[in-house]
Amino acid sequence: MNAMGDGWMIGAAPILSPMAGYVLLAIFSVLWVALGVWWGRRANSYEGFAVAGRNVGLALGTATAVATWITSNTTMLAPQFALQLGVWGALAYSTASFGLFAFAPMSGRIRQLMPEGYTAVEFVRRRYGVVATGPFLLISLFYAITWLISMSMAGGKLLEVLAGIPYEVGMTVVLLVCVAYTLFGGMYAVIGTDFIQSLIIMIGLVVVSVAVLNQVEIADVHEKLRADRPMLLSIFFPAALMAIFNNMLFGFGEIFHSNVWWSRAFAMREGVGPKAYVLGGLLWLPIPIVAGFLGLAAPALGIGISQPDTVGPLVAATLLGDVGALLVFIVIFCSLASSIDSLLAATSDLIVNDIAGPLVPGGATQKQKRRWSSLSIVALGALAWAVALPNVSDLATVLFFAGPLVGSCIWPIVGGLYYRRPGGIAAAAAMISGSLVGLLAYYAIGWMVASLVGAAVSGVVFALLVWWQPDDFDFELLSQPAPQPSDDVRHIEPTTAAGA
Amino acid sequence: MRPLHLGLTLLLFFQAGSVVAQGTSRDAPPSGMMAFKQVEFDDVRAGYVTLEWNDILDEAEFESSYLVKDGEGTTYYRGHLPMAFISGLPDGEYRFDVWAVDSEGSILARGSGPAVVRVEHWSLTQAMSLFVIGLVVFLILVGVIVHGAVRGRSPKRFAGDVLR
Repeated sequence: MNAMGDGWMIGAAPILSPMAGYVLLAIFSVLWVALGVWWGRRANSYEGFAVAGRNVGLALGTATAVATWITSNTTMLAPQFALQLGVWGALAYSTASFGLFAFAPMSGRIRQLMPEGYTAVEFVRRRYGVVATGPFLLISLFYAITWLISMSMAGGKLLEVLAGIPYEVGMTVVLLVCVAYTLFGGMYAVIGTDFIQSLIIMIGLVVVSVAVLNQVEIADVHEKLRADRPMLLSIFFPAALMAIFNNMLFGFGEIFHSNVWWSRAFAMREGVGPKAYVLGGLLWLPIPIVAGFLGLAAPALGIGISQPDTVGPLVAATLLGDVGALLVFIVIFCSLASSIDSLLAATSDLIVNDIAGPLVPGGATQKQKRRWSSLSIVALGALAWAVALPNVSDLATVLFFAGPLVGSCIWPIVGGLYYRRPGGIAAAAAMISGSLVGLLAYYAIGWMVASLVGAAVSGVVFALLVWWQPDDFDFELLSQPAPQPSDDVRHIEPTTAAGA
Repeated sequence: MRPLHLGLTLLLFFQAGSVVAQGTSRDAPPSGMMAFKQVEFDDVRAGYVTLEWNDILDEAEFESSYLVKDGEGTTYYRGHLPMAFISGLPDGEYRFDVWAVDSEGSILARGSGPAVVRVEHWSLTQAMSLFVIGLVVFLILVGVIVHGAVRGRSPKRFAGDVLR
């Protein structure tokens, strides 16, 4: 008896030889670290290390927005969305670009209000006070660390699927390389490598897309889905309908609250941010749709999928052979690196400015902050490595747990940036209530509604409390620089705990 | 660092467990036998499910593979890993069987029984309600940002000036 299905390709086998994978890994590891060291020569002061001297222009600004937002999730989760939720899923993922469009005017406002600012948490602390800073800092750290872990896991999975490199080895190398060059060059290295990485990613994706479309008949994909998986084409797919605005608001929450984006707003020259974020969004918008098509094409091509978050790379590499596998490997390695480095740099800024800094009476010196940044980057890398090592869950599950938390930050950020009336109580209550109810929705219904519920509940709570207890904030307070002790007169060494 | 590591790990385990559809699990089969780890999936709300079974193929034998088919003979998976992700299923009950086959398609082993998947999507009323809520939140948010940005750009209402 012959039980084999016709026209099926085995996609689960490694596409590249482990040797080819190790060689590619070595080449790009050396390249990124060397570039990081080269660009990091100017990162002597904390100002240079954290915000690249606040002088980033339009080309670098756009490239860093695109490269950071093209995470491994774009290339791995967008196809997963399409495979799970069909055509709506791919469209839902692409709505994350709306977050970049919406943040464009906000980045100009941020730069204008806080010309010497460093972090998003610093904004919340100075705008709303301590009561709102606690929940916001917790959410920021949880999100950043979750994202960092999911990127690290993605690196390990990718190298395993594409080249048969053991998960633990791949994940460790990717993380180690990113920690190394971020450590040397800070934001200069992050933005510099982002520029190269964004070019490689864009060119690679165009080549892969054209090559895949040349080999796949859209009519065949449609016919196969219509016959075997009709919900993937259905306009009235309930879970997908729920996911559309959920994903969009998740993207809004991610960008609005995350210091990854705020630190870039601070690093860009005045007037550059709005243009860079709009251009970045336009360049990013089509990528999830193209990547999503790979997910939809898998059933038609007869490629068996075991883990949905690997469907995109698997389809591209299976269809395009060795060259395709090389391209996919390079594209995803670049997208991983461009996100991990940004997270390491931006999260270390939070630790230095918003956790360690305030503990020093009179404030920390630039020299201290520079040193603490290095220590915190190493610590974050070690933490991400330790949590990613067991490989306990799939990417979507890890990432979407943070959805309701970041969704609940949208209104406090927007309201605090543009309006005087919102106060600390309203901001804190909005974040806490939105997070809790959003998490309940996560468990009661699913990830596809958690961010939406979080954003909606926090919005209602925020509006009611602003109306009930209006504040009268003076925005001039934000433009006044925080007191900075001179390096010449203060040389307090980091504590043992910080230096451990 | 340890409490945070432990906490995050526990959270990951907790939430990973919560999203798996309710169903019946099966004890590990005898050596050489093949069986699904979970044989019943009830209330699958989004039309997708991951089937898992015990691995019986030799890693060195790359020519052999697994096949998963439904009751009508449609192939949903062929690959080396003992796990199949199946999506896009409309409401209904589905029975999936698994085989291990060699490169010629000859059967090496067959699963001891089918996995039964019962799909019941979320109601369209609920989905449309959430869709509309999302649309409203999105439109208000865009309105607030545009309003704030336009007023903030006005010379009389520059940065630190009045914005209520």
